[in-house]
Amino acid sequence: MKERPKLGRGLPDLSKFFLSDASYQEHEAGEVTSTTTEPKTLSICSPGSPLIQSVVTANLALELARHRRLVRIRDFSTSDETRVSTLMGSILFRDEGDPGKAFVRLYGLPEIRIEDGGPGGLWKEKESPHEAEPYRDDTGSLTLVNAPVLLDLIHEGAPSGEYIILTMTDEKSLLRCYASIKVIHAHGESSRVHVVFDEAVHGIDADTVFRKFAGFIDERLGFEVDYFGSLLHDEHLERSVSEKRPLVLFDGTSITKDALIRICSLLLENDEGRLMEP
Amino acid sequence: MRLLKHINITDPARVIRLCAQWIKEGLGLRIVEYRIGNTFTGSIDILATDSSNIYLVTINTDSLSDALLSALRGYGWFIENLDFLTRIYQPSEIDFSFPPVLMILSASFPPEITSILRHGLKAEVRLFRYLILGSEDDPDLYVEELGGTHIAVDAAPFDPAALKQELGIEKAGLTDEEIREFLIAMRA
Repeated sequence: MKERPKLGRGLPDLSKFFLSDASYQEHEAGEVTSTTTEPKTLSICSPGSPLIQSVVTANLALELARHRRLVRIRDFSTSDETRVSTLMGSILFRDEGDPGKAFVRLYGLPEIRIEDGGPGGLWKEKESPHEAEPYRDDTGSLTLVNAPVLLDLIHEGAPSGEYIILTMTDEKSLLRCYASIKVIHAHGESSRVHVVFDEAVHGIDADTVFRKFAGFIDERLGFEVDYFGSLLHDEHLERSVSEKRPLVLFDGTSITKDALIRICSLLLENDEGRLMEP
Repeated sequence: MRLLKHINITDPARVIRLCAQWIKEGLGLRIVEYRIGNTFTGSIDILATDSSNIYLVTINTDSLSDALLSALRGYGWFIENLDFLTRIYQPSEIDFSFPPVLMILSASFPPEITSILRHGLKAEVRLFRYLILGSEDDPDLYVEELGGTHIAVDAAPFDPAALKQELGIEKAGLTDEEIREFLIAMRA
């Protein structure tokens, strides 16, 4: 018997996620809100940890959907373990006609579409651009690109308008992050870059490290980057990965969940703030 | 499973003995002398060596600020009395042409200690945090080196090409000078 998407999936899935403080505004359930009508692309990159990169992508997609944003994920992960569809396994529906496509459909939220491009997907697409299927309605949509090798992505001519880069706070990781930002800036001066410190080491003054880092970029490239805070890891993160259930669905206290929600809030604030600019 | 309790040994000589044992067995250094120098112009808790360096060890058993001052005075004494030391020790015991390294062991350090020492000192410094667990009768010493000091980075020669390859950033077009300036800015 074929498994079909069911209307009722049990109380655990209902959870406080849908009863939370996210702005529902005056929209009906399922109606999508967007501050702009232009489709946008946001690339998420964590050179030090493809798993954390996919964790952020999966959770960010759900949080954005909770804020009534139409989201799709283009996943170019290099291994099955770090694929977004793996990390969202407990809430995922597969497209019966196309195993490369999957969906997350939760009550009252816009559908999240996941396209598994695979490790060579980006290059295949470049060779055969007609195969890249447009979204059924790109108006106001946000495409999250889970790109394992950011520099290749940009060099291959697929830059995004906006980036979240996760980096550790040691010198080498920061240098690699700076290299990525330099390339992003060279390919699009209007691009936006948001930096997240992944698991800032205890005792490190993350704000000071960011000030030095951002100061050097500003001085050298004349380019401003935003700081989206630190992503600390707790035991709930590990459990969410093993249970294939994104952490933002966890109904409890978690510093990692709070950090993920904060990243999404800052992203949305940033988006709205930009519209207010003269 | 046994949970080891953190203990505070009040006898400084005992702490120094425990640390000396770790310096020999854990770090593999050869101890040349204990408590060298004098209380008026500076002293070193342990003088040790290996095949490439001389280590001037200070062990903090009370106040870190006192220990830091003691380490600096000990270093000053060592530099000023190098000729004398060269005369009294055989080259087979210790080679005074090796560069001196300040080594400080303490139960705790403030987070910014590496940055302070980096800017304040020309001498190479290695910092180790120790923890004594168990019981007064059967203490266990655990030691970890603090990471991220300039010493660790500077120990290897600066090779921008190798660094770019290691980080996979060859395509980013960073110049060697740019990498050097970046590292200086981040260490400031």
